[in-house]
Amino acid sequence: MGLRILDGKLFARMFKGGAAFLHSKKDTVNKLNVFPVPDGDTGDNMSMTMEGGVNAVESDAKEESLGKVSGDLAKGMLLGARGNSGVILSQLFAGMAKVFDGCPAADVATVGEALKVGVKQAYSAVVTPTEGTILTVARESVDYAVSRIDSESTIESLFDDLTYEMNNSLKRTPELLKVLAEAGVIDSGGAGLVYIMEGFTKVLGGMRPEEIDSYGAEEKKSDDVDFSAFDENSDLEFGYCTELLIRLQNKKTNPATFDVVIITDFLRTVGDSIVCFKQGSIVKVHVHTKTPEKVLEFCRKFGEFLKVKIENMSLQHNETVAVEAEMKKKSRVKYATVAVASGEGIEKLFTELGADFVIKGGQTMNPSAEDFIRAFDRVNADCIFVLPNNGNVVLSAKQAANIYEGSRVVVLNSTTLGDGYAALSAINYEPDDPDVIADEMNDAMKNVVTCMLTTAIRDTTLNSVEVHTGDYIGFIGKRMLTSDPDLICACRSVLSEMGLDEKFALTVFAGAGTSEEDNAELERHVNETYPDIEVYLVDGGQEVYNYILIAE
Amino acid sequence: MSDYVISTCSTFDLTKEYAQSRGINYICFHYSRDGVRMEDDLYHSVEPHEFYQSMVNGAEMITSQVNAAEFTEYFKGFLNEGKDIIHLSLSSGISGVFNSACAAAAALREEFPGRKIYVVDSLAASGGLGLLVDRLCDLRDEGYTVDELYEWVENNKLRLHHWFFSTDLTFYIKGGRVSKLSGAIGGVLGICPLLNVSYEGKLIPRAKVRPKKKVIVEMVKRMEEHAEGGYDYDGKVFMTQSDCYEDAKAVSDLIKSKFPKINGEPWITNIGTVIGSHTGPGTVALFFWGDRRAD
Repeated sequence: MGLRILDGKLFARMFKGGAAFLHSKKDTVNKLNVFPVPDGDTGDNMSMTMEGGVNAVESDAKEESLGKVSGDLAKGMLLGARGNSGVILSQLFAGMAKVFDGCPAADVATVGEALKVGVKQAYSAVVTPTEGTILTVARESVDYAVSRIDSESTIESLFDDLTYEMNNSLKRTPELLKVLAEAGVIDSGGAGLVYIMEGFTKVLGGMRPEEIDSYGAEEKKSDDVDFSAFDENSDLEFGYCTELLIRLQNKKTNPATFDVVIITDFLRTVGDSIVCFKQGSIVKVHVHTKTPEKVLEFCRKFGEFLKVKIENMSLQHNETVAVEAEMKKKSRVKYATVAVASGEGIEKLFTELGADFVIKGGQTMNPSAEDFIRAFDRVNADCIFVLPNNGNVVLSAKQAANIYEGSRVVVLNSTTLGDGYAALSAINYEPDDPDVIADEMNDAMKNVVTCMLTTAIRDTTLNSVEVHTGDYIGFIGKRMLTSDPDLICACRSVLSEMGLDEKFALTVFAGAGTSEEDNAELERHVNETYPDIEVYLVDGGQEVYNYILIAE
Repeated sequence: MSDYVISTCSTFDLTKEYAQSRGINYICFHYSRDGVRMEDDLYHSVEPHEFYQSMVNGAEMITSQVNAAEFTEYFKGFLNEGKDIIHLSLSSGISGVFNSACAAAAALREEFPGRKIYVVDSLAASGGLGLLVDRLCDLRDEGYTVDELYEWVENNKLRLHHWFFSTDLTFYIKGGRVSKLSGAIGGVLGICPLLNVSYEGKLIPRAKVRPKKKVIVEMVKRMEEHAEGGYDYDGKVFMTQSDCYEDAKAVSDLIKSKFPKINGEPWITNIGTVIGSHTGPGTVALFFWGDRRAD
C-alpha cells in the first residue's frame, strides 16, 4: 500500500531527488536549444534554481512540517531563479507552498490542490504565457493527474500520473510551438520539469537522492583545474577565494540580532572582494584573502560551518559569487539604475552612461533574482530602474523586484544590449517622477534595432535561412537574416535589413575576437553605403557576438 | 519720442547695430580671459571664433555680474535725462544680476521720486532675452506707455521659449551650470543633451539624444509642440550659436520647411562672450513665442 500523506521530510527528499536527477540530465536539457547560438542554457538555469531550493533546506535534517519545508524551498528558489524557465519553476513551487502553508502534512487531494495553485501562479508570472512550453507541460499534467484522484489515490499514484502525462505533454510541445518543430526539438523547460518529476518518483520508489546524482560536477570542475599553474616555487600572488556558509549558533551569539558588519569589518582587514550577507541564521561569506585560516578562526566565533570552500586563485577556478560587490554601502540616493551586461568595454560604457551598478551576465550567464537583489542593496536608492538587456533575464529581474522591499523597482523591458544602450544614453532623472523617467527610457528603446552577429554552433534552417555550423549568422530578435562564411559579408547583408534609411546613428560593439581590419572595413562600408548615418565604434569586448549592431 | 528707455543686459546676444537701430540700451557684463578683464560688448573687442578657440585651447574664462554701483551709474544717465526706465534683467535662474539691478533701482527711486524704474526678471537669456526685448520695442513703437509695457512683459514673458542643445558639454559641466545630467558627459558617443529654460528661468536638461542630426529634429519638434499657432506660427524666430553656424543653419533650414509663415528668416546671431564662457563652443539655441512655460 502506498502513502496517503506527504510530510515535510518526504517533500524535502523528493525535491532533492528532483534536483539531483535534473542535475544529472542538465546537459541533455541544455542541448534542446532552438537558436544556434550559445546562450543561458535552460538546463543550467533550472538546475541552479533547484539548487537554490535545496540549499534553503539542506542543513535542516530534522523533520519539519510540510508548510515550513515547502516555504523554505520556495523562498530559496525565488532567490535562486535564473532565466525564464527558472522563474516559472520557482513560481510553480511558490504557489504550492501557499497551499501547504501552516500544514504539518497534506493528503493527496491537498497536494493536487497545491499543484493546481502552483500552475496558476506560474502562469501569472508571465505577461503573455506561451503554450508549448514548461507552462503547458505543467498545466496539462496537473489537470490530468488531479482529475484521476479518487479515494484509492496515493502520493505515489499522483506523481506517477503526473510524470506519465508530463512525458506525453512534452512530446506534444512541437505541435504547439512552431519554432520547436522547425528546429526539431522538444521544449527544454518542459523537459527539465519532466526530469524533476522523474526524480520525485524515483525517491517515492525508494531511491535516496544521493543515489540519483552525486552532484559530482563540482568535483569534476576542480578536476579540470590545471594544478601545474601553482608549483613548488610559486608565490601566493592572488591568495585564496574563500567561501563559507556559517550557521550562527545560539551557544555563541544571538543569531536573530547578529549583524554581519562584525564579519565584514574583520574581512576588510584580511582581504578584499568581500561579499557577506545573512539569511535567517545562515551567513554567507565570500572573500579573497591570503590568510583563509584567520577568516575561519574569526567566523567560528559565531557559529559552525555548513560549507567551506577555499581555492587558490593562481589556478583558474570558476567563482560562484560575484566578486565585484564590495559591501561598502553607498549613501541613499533618490534614483539609481542597474543594468545587466557582459563584455569589459560594454560594462565600462554602461557605467559611463550612468548605470550605477552593472551586473555581469546576460546571454550565456543569466543572473539570478538574488544577484539583482544584491545590486539593489548596493545602489541604495529610493527608486531603482533595471535594464535586464536580455529576453531571458527580464523575468528574474521582475521576480527580484517583487521580492525586494524598501525601494521602488522599475524593471524596463529591455531585451537586448542595444535597448539598454539606448535607454542609458537617454537617462535623465530631471523630471523627478519615476513614471516619466521610465517613459523616456522606453521611448528611447522604441526606436532601436539591434542586430547580433555570431558564429553558428549547429546546422539548422530558420526563416528560410540555411544556417551552417561555423558560418557567421546575423539576426534581429529571433529573426535569422543571414548565414555567411565571411564576417563582413554577413554584416553587409544584415545592415541592409536594419531600416537605416530612417535612422540617425549606428553604434557597433566589437566583440572580443574581432580584428582592427574588420572593424575598419565595417566602418568604411557603413560610411560609404549609409552616408547619413553617424557611426560609433565601441570596443565592447563581449564574448559570443562578433558584433552587436545598434541602429537608432 | 517715448519718455522711457528700454534697457537690458549685454547677454541678450543680438548685434550692436540692431540694438542701435531699435533703440535698445544695454549694460555690459564683464569677464576675464586668463586674468585679463574684458567687456561683454557684443563682439567688438574679440572675434567669436577666436573667443571660442581660445576656450578650447584652455583659456580660463571667469564671468562677473554687473554690481549695484555700476547699475546705479548706468540708470542715472537715463534718469538725469528725465527718462523712465524699463530694464529686462537676465533670468534670476541663471544669474544673480537681477538683485543688483533691483538694489540700484530701489536706491534711485528715492533719489528720483518722480521717475519710474521697472526692473523685470525676464526669466530669459541669450536670444530669448533678445526676442523679448525686440517685442517690447514693437510695442513701444505702437505707443505703449512704460506701465503698459511692464504689465505686458510680466504677463507674457513665460510665453517665450528657449530650447538649446550642445554637442559638447565640457564647459557646461565645468561651470556647474548643468550638474544633474546623470553620468554621461556630452559628446560621449554622440549624445547631445537638449535643454530648455524652465518657468523659473533655470536651465533644465529635457532629453538626451544621439546623434546631432537627431537632436536637431527633436529640437524643432519642441517648436512644433509649443509654438504659437503650431505650424502657422507667424512670429519671429531668433537663434544663437557658439562657433557652430552650420549646425544652427541646419536647424534654421528645417524650421523654414516646417513653418512657412514665420516672420522673416530665423535670425542667427552669436552667443555672447559671457553666456559663451559657460556654454563653450557647440551650442545651438532656438527662441520663439508659444504656450506658457509650465514646468
